[in-house]
Amino acid sequence: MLAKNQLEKILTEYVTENKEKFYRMAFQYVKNEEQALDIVQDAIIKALTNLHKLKNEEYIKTWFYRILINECLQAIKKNKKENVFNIDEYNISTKDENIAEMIDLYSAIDKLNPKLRTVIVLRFFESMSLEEISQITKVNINTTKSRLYKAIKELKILIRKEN
Amino acid sequence: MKKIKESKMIYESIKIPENLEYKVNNALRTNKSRFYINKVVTVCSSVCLLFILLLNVNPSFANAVNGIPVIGKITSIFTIREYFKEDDTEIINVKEPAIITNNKDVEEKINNIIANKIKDLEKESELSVDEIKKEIDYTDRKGSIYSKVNVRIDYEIKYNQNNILSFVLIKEEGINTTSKDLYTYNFNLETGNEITLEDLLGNNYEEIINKEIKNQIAEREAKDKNQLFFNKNDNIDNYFKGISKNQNFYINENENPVVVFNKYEIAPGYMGIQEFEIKDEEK
Repeated sequence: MLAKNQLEKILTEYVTENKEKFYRMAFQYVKNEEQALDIVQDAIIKALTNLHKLKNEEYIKTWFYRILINECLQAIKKNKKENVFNIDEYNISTKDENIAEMIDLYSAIDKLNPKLRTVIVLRFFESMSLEEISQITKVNINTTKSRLYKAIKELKILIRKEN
Repeated sequence: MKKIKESKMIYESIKIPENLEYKVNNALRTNKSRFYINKVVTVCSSVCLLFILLLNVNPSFANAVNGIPVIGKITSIFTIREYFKEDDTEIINVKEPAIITNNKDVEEKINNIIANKIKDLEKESELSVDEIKKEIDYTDRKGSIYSKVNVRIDYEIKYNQNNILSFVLIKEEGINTTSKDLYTYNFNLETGNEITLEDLLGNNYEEIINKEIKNQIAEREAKDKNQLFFNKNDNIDNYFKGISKNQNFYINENENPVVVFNKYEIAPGYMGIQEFEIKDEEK
């Protein structure tokens, strides 16, 4: 097993390199800059405090994402009102014809229940494998798969309703 | 579902706030002091416990405590910015390091020095990349890896203990054969001052080093025919005449200075970078 300060170094490097991804993940859940920053900060502090629980540096990614997503889910539970999509918070050009459709779909993801939402975000936005998602959400691959299908189905229904 | 993949574009366009870096570094740092204190706790009296509790529940208190010299002597160096770009004509890879240490003034000073140097190096290589590109005929080799200009700016930590931080910034650039230049930095983390060869070897450091390097050159040449340094008779002015005022050196794990010469400085290009450890005989 690695010494604690070595693990700390690995985590510091990992976090520093991927901080923007973590921020996007958090923002996607809470749609609020300040809250997203707090989530990232809290996740890092939690990770450092629980560093001894990371048995193998190979799992740093799934381990850290699990902490991060737990923070996100707790945050949306606390949020009384749902924050909505605000185009100023994105670097997108409105010229693209498909943009409205994309925004609809992106916003529809918020309406999924947290478990389904997490699978969609990890699979499609973070391009993770089903195996990685299973490790992060601590359920087996078959459950992950069925959650993914269910999420896609529900999304289709949600979009149809809106149009 | 293709459309979900498309909406990834929205996800990736989420604006990153400027203070993300600050928040992240702060979070990483907050725990540094806490972590260190946790180790000290076994020898601490119970009075300390309250102190530790405060640190654990209150990050701003922990930050304030950061400045107390007794608590932390942990300094870490990490990549604060990484930049990678590849297209048909070039591959650019830049890693900029920064340090975190308990003395904020020292930290700021060193980080400024690093940031300025990296900026300069980036500018320099931008210019030379343009120069190199002018000389390449892209017509029949476009896209081939061999026709891409390569730039790598990186760093390497040599020593980080006992309040000494020694590291090297590396710049590589070129096409096929690349040039590699090292820039060495040695800091006393208590004062924030650069450590000089004189600090390490005393007043007659120049004499000690020059003698040692000449010996080592002779030794290496005798041992291996392929080891060749420039010498007086080569009609090249680059032979080793003695160390310069701003001599590159780093400090190794034995706390000895290692004098570094870049490519071509004292030997033909194929010899690459040359290093000489100067052992302190009194140690």
